[in-house]
Amino acid sequence: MADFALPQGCPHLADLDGEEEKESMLKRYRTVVSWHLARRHAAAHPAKRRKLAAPACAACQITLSRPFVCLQCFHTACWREAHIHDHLRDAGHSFCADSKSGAIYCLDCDDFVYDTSFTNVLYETSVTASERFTSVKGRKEPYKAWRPEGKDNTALEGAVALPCQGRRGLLNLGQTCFLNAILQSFLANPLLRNYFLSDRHNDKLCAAKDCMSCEMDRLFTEVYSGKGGPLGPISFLSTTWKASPAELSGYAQQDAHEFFIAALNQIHATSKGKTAASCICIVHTTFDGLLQSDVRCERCGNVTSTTDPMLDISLEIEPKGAAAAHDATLAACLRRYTQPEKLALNDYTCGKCGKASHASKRLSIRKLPPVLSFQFKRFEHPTADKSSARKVEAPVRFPASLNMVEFTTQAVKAGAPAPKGKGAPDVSYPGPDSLYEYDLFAVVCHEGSIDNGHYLCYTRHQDEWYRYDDDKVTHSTLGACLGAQAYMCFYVKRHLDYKPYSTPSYVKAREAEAVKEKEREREKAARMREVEDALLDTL
Amino acid sequence: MPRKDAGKDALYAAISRRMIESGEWERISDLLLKRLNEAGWVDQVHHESKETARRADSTPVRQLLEQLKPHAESTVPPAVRQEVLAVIRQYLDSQIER
Repeated sequence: MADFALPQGCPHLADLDGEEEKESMLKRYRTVVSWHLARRHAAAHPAKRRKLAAPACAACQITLSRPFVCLQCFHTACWREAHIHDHLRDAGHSFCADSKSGAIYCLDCDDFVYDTSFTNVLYETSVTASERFTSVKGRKEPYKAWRPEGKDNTALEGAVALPCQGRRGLLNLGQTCFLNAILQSFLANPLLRNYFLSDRHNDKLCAAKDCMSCEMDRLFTEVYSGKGGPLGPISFLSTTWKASPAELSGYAQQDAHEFFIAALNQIHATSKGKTAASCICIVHTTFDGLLQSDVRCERCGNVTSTTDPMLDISLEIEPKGAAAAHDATLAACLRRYTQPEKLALNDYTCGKCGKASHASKRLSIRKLPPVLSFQFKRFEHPTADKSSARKVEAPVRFPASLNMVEFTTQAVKAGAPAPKGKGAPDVSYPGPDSLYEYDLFAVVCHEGSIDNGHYLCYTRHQDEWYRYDDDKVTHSTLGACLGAQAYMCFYVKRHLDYKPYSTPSYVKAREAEAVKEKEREREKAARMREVEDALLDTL
Repeated sequence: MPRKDAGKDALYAAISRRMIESGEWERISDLLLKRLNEAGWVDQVHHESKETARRADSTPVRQLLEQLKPHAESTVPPAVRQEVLAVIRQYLDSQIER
């Protein structure tokens, strides 16, 4: 097993492990963090505008928007003039916390330090606070921190810690960089990783032929095995060919996005317990969102809404008919995507006033998925003729962290003019930011021209970026990743929702079947015994 | 300290207190952060800080801040600076003579 070193913690904080002092510091820390969250909520909540608590620095009396608080006595001071440092030094204290970020500063290290028990308190407090401030109550299970008990402790005792990262290059099997780039994005996807590494689809127990879920399971097993050297995804490729012979087989160059969608459909099709609607398979629980389309009749103001499931969002880089020279950002693309769009006169007949009329259509995101995938439409096919296809080379800027609140149905509705005769628009508070925050974890890039190009992929593990160019894997940087010509980018929700655990119906059905089977066997055995007894009696 | 500066400081302290108590400070900071993030500034500074820290063996955080601050401040996009300054000015105007 490969050795891996944990980052060095703060020795001064480690000295306090198990001491009463640490317990009281944790208590103070919880107070500081919840105080900040409550204040933020009050500032963001338009319905409750009252004076906010504003502590002042004990030394310079300036009001603090971001107070630093001593964890050993609640002394509050500023960072800018180093008055908190003065306090720590004078009082013989060592630790203070930044109320805004929850970061802990150690005077002896002269640095910010990290400690699991503090991190857990921060996480627990912020999740609990966001639950308290969320208007949609009752849908979610309240957060409970996991603390190992009886059975867990026994299991943990004999357990060996394994590195939770795997990095292997993938060999190019003849223009298969499209496949390699997408597979790397799957491998870096925390939801897919947790699913396959926890043996939810075991290829050794699966009897299906040409099963894409088995291919995923084998891929994760290989990449996270700790072995080095590149891997040839041969059986993955052959299963892909068998599954989608028309679109993806052969040695021609393929579109990475097309493969992405085909692979998701195949994984879904080979998942246990899949359904046609609101499916609970790994693909749909990971990628599935809901897109709402509102068509508004300009004549009578009637709005017709429809919703459609979506696995990803495809965005135009350049506005139609506009000059190419502009600052393209992901947010700008999304704003354009959720702008009202005029429909042609003959395209729409209003269901209410019954007449063909001018109408506008507006898209918004009704339900955000845990993993949000974007495709930038770089390849344009103005006509059916292949030679007319062209590639949009313009760079698109995308952030490492993204807040999706302004593109949700709730926010779009709040910003739209009020429907006629209904008074003021319903500006409801959409809930804390933590419900809308996403972090970038993979980017698939395309280099070169439309008919002679190359795909590669950047993925993130914690705060480190890696570049995957087929079998070549190199350590990279955030800057390099964000500067690349992105074709697809993948974001994961920072705080996942969870609901109360319930056994999936297909598991229940299987268990009921097993019980019945046992019953039948018992009956059969009883009958056999009766026959034997009868035989014995006759003798 | 000259008297004029003391007056200015007191005014600054009073305004910042008012902004913080009314929640305006938080809202303007949020706006600033949102604009800086979309402009790529946040990621650029994150990248530079991380790579600077990686190059040095161990740099105390305050030294690192000193080192990065001038460049970070000078690379704030002018459009973002103007927009946020306008919001602050508007707030100040609304507070005067009331």
